[in-house]
Amino acid sequence: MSSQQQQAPPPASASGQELSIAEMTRIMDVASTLRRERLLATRELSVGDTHRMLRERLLETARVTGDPVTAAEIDAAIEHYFQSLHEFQPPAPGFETFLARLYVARNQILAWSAVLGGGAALAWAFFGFAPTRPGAPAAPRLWGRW
Amino acid sequence: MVTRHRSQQQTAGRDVLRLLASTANAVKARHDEVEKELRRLEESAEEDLRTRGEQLARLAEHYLPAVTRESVGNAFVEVRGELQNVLRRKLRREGELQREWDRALDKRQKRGDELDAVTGELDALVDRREELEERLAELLDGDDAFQDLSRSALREEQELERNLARVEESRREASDKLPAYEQSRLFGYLLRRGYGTPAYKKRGLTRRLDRWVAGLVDFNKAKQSYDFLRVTPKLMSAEVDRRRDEFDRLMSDVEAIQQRVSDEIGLTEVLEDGMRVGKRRDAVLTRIEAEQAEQQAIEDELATLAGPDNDFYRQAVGRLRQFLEGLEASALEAKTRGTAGATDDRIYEEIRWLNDRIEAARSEADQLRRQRSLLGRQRTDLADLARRFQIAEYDSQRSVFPAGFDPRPDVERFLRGEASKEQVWQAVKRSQHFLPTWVEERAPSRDLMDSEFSYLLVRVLAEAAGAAIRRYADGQQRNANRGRPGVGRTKRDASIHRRARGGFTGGRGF
Repeated sequence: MSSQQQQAPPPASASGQELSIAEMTRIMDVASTLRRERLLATRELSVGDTHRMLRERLLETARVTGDPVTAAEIDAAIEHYFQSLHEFQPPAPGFETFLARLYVARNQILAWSAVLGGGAALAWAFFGFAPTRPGAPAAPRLWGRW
Repeated sequence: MVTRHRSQQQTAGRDVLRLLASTANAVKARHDEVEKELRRLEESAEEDLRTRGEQLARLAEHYLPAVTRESVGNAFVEVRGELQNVLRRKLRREGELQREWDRALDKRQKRGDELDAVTGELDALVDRREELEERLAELLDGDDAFQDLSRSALREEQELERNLARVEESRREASDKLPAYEQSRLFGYLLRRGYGTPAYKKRGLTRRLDRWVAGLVDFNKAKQSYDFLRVTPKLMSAEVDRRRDEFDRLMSDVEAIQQRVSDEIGLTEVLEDGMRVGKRRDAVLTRIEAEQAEQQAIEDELATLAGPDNDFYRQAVGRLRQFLEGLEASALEAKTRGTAGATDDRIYEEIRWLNDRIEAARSEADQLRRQRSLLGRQRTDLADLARRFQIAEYDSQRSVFPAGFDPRPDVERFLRGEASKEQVWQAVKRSQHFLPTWVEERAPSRDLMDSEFSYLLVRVLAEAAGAAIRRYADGQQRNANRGRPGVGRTKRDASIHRRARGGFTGGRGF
């Protein structure tokens, strides 16, 4: 926390005095968020009305355009639309997706590579995977190099 | 070897001891058999006694089928007084119960009247309530404010039910669709990094690659759907709670109008009175149930007293049985023969047969007890004889009895009780003697052997006589025994410490 913030006067709202523009903006933001949330909840609670309105409009459109679609077909289409709404659509499998998976898992891949590489290096150091003289014991060869 | 001097016809002391020990064992086995037989006899007698007790109880029950004036009057004069006491106590208890029952009947009548009065009062209040409720319905029907509020409340209630169903549906949809977002590695990666939010600070190649990944999963749209699924059910639930509060307020207004009108026409008062009288009726019913239970208990006890399954009857029969048990067999027979029926005669025959069996068992048991006591004493005496035999060292190898000596007749006489333990011992003692030692055999006279000094003297002489032979033998062996000090010395020390007339013990046997 900066020193300017520490020395700032208490909010005007606390003392019942006139509100600053920043505080008024913040309050309005909160009120706006609450209103939006309530609207969203209201809309979702009355989703049946949305269904009906959509159905009427689609029927009217079909009548105007002369499309021979039936009301039952429109109902099925609306039902399918609302069911598939907000469903997660995974990326199509392919090389690009594979590369993307490798990329997002790069930290784990690096960590595992480091572990395996370190293990291999230790094993080489103790058991002499690259012998200097065939048939010679591993430990003396190693110590000899040191 | 000492045994070499015993002739083949002589009886060894050990054989006599073996005979005494085997006789003691046989006596012990017989003692155990008698003990077992006695136990069986006592168990059988106990069973007979128990059966006789049951038969006496049957006889008592036959003579006293119930504690009534008639049966007590017909009972034996010896116990009639005590039975009449029991009868008096029983009658007193019956009287008490009868009075309690009468009181319970009175109380029940009183409670019935009380219940009728309360029920009448309650019926009147119900009529009044129905009348006022009709009036209330008419008044509320004409009240516009009440009608408007009621219709609104009804609509809101139905809407509230639909909303609740919709919230549940939204929760189900979220629980179905959210796992796909959470299981996607690409979406999860971007979500963890805060991609698309002010918190995301990556630059350069990483930012470009993250943008490429976001494009693959259409991150912005997916994030909106993800947030929607996560947040919307909670928002909807909060909105439903708010609407429920509104509905509750509306219902309070409706109820307030209803309460006001109800107060005005007096329905509230009638309802309160009805509740109060209803509680009184419930209390009266509870008391009636409790009193009925008491009355039932009294009736049960009276029924028990009328039958044979009660304490008074058990006391009376117990006393009569005690009396019959104390009667002599002849007196009991006279009593049973003196009555008209044959049932008591049959029971008496059974008792008499059991008495005979018990008497026979008692007599046999006495005899067995005497036999057991005798066998126990004989076993102790035989063990004592064997111990005395061993103390006297009659069981040593040098202890012999003359040819033809047989202790069995004496032992048999002892077992028949014709000879005492002392007599058997004297007979054994008279016949027993010890074979002489080689020193005693070489002594000129037995008188010389009577002191320790003379014994040593004879022994020294005897040893001097054999010295030449031993010296030669010692000379032959000295070379071989050189380096083994103390060989000859040990023999001499042992001979010096021997006692007169024997050796290792205080007796003459060893």
